[in-house]
Amino acid sequence: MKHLLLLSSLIALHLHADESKHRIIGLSEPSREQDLREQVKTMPEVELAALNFNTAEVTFRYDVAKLIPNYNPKHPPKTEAITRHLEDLLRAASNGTFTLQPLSTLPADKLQKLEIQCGLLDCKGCRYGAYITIAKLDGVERATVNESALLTAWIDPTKTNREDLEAALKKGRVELKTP
Amino acid sequence: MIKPLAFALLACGLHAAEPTAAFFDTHCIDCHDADTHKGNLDLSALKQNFSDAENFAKWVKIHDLIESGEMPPKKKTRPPAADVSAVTRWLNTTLIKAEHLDAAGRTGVRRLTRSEYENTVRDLFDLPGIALQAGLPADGSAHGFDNNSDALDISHVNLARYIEAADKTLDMAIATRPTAPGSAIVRLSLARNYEPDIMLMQGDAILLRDKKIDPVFPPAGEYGHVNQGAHEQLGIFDRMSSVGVFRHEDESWNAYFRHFAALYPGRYRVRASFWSFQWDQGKILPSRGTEAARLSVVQFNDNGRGGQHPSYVLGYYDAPSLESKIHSLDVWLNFKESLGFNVASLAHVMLYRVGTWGQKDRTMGFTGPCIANDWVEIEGPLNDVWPPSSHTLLFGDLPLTEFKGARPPVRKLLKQEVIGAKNKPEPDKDIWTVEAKEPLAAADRLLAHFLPKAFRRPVGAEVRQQYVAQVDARLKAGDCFETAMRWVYRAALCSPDFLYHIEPADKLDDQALAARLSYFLWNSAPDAELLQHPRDFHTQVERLLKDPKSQRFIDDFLGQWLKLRAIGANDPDKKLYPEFSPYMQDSMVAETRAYFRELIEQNLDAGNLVQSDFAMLNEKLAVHYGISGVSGPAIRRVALPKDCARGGFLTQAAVLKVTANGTTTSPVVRGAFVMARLLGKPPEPPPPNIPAVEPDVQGATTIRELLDKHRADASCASCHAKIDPPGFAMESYDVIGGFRDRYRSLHEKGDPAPRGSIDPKIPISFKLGPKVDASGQFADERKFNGIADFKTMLAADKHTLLHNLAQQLVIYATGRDIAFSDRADLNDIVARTEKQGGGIRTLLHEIILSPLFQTR
Repeated sequence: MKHLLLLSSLIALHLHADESKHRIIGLSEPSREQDLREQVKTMPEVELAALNFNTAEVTFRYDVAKLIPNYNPKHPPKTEAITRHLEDLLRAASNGTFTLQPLSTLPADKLQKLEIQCGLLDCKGCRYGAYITIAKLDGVERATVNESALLTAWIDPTKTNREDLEAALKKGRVELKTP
Repeated sequence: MIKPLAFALLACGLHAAEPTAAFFDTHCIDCHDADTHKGNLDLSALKQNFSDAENFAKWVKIHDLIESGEMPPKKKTRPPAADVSAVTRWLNTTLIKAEHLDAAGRTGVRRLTRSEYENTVRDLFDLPGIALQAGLPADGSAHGFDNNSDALDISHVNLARYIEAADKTLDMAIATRPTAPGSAIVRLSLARNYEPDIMLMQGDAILLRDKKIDPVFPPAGEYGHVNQGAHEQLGIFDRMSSVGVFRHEDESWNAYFRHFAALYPGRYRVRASFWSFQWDQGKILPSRGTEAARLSVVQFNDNGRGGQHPSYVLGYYDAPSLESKIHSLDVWLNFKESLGFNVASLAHVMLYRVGTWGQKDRTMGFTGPCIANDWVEIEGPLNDVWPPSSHTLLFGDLPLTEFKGARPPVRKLLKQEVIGAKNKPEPDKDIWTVEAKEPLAAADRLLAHFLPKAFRRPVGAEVRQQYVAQVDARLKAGDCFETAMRWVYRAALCSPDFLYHIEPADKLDDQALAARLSYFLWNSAPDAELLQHPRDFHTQVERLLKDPKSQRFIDDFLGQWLKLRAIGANDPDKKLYPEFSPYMQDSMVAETRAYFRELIEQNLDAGNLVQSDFAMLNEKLAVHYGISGVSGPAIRRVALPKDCARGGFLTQAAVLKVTANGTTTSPVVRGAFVMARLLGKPPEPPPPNIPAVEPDVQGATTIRELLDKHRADASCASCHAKIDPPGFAMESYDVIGGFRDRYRSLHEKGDPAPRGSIDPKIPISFKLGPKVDASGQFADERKFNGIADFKTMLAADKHTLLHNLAQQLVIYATGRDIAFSDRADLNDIVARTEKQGGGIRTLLHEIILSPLFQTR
């Protein structure tokens, strides 16, 4: 019960019972919005209700009765089961390039913005590769990358810092442009 | 001390009245008595014990030396011709008589060689790609060939391997499902394979679309691409882009089409699209010509991870400039086999940059040639009929039904074992097998069909009944029909009737004749038509030669006669011969094979063995030989320029490579090769206490200088006077068959070497050392100035060349050495061939018509 309450606070369910909002990892650059839209179309019984690139938040709409296999109205699935199912569908549709996370609980004014200039990231794969290296780090709430190879991350400074991010990038063989 | 030989001869059993006694006494005993015994020959002690092989061989040698005029030596008084004739005639008659008494010279009982075994199984079961040779113990060799009865022993190891081979054959031959596995067309991209992924990331390959750079994946420049997994997840390599490859395969990298690994052994159709271009730091320009792309069949080990899996080359294919060319070929793939690709005609370059090693700015900083593969398609397995003919051979038209009994035939679960391969087996839910309502009657009928085909001759009912009795025993023991039949089929494949050449004692019967003919020209069992008309010699020989299976004869014969099997015995020194490549080596072998094929097809005479006005070349060899106007990897007939010393086997790169050690050449080795393989006069083995001449690997001293010192020893001089001249002439060619007028050297004092025809991408570090002197003098004191001169002199003696080739072919065709008593027949073959113009195709016909061929 305790866990359920905690999750409920992290996942803000939409007013409509069959919508859910999540933080999403994988939106490395604006063109990835379109990728996500196309991939969600291939997810059975799910629609993309809203997508905010700036906050990296996504809202899915669905009929839970159709979404969940062997749905039993007498024993409706718990919220985390629905999230887990959505996560599985999204992974399958995107070959694992999009994943869901609980919504951020950190107030915006507590986030620290970091910019890291990389050597050259002239292809989408490289940009995504550099992005994902830091986007999954604990303490990184959101990140983006642009065609000028500038990585931008919003971090929880109590959990991580620039050095951690740069170390992770170097380990991932992403060359950094030193001033 | 001189003593009358007549006395000594009487003592050793040679009658004084025989013409040899007086002849030896007058002309030989001075040097060959007990005290002097020159050449280790003491005539006073030599007995007429012809049943002793060593003794017999000495008498043959005496006969040959007197007949050729080599003995008595020139400095001695020449014996009257009539005396020579009388002696040699008497020796000839005596030796032949002795040989016939001893019944020596007939072909001994011999089993199939490894290649004969494999080809026989392939043809019998119509499984043209089943690989069995590698599982069998290596064959020995005698008198130059492995199919010789003196070399073909058998042991328990052979038998164990024959059982394994029979099981492998039957596994593949027997249909285990009611319908054929579905045929599918799989289009593969080189991009989506583990090793090319790596190369794409770091810049040794690029993605292309519509002959332009794929904008989704720009070529690596100052920085390589990062996070291969991320690219794979985004599907960047899954878009069927063409892949341009700069990097030649090497010890650490091979390009395999890993998304497919055959599950069902069988025929497949492969289509592949290649083109080439010149890359100039980001620009795609027309290429320097038609490049060569190589396709090979790769046998994945275990789960397919890692590199360096066993493979064999399918062929080299045109990759024209900026224009895709689609090649189509039919191949056989075994379980876990796929295809590999290589940029065969490109030099080794490495664009992958690690620290300061490799190309600065990777692909974007590079200028050079590139070969692109658009895709490869594999269609199959292709089954025209089901069950396949291999199954029908074993089980006729018996129906395949679902097995319902208690003890099913053994089935191995088929699964995809190669990681990354996407093709999966079709589910086999039930066990299907042949059903026979009257099993023993069916077994009898099936064996009556199978055994004569397998044994290559009629099989009596009593033999067949023994096999049927075994089927009966197995059925009574509880085996199902398939298992019982499999048991006897395996026994048949391991029986002497299958494993051995069965030949009657004297004249060959029809079946033995057909078998000898087909094993000669096809390296395999006779087909039905040959068994039916084995004595229609001309028609059959022409038919056999026309059939693609005759390539097996060419490959097998040349592999041994000209030692082509040893082409990979050493890798040329990379500093001295940096231009050498596997593609060059394969081209060398292809040239020699194609040349021999051309000699047969055009029925050219034996002079062409050493001299011709044409060569069989592709671009790689033409450039290597300094001949212009040849483009692409296909071997074709090329007219040679008038001043070109190429033409004939002696100046073919394959022959020049197998007679060298990878670093240096030796006139002794090459001279001995020419004497033994082309002139039929193998030199005596070197005396035991004389050290070999070791070449100067630094290249400061020529081999001729070293040999001059060696020949100062009188005991060496007489043999080297015969051995060295051909080798001296061949000194004009280096260890990879390139022409040279100066030796390549690693000595620091050498002169700078010009690049010549060496690819500009290949760094050169060797220098030019001493000049080559290819002049020499035959043992009969005729002089030559160089290789061209030497070849002209050699080619003038067509008779010797033809006689030797006839001898080599007869040894190969009959599986035994030429006995002394065979010489007349051999001479007859040569004489009849010469009367008809001396063509090599004619020679093959005459060999087959001869008593040597038609008698065991």
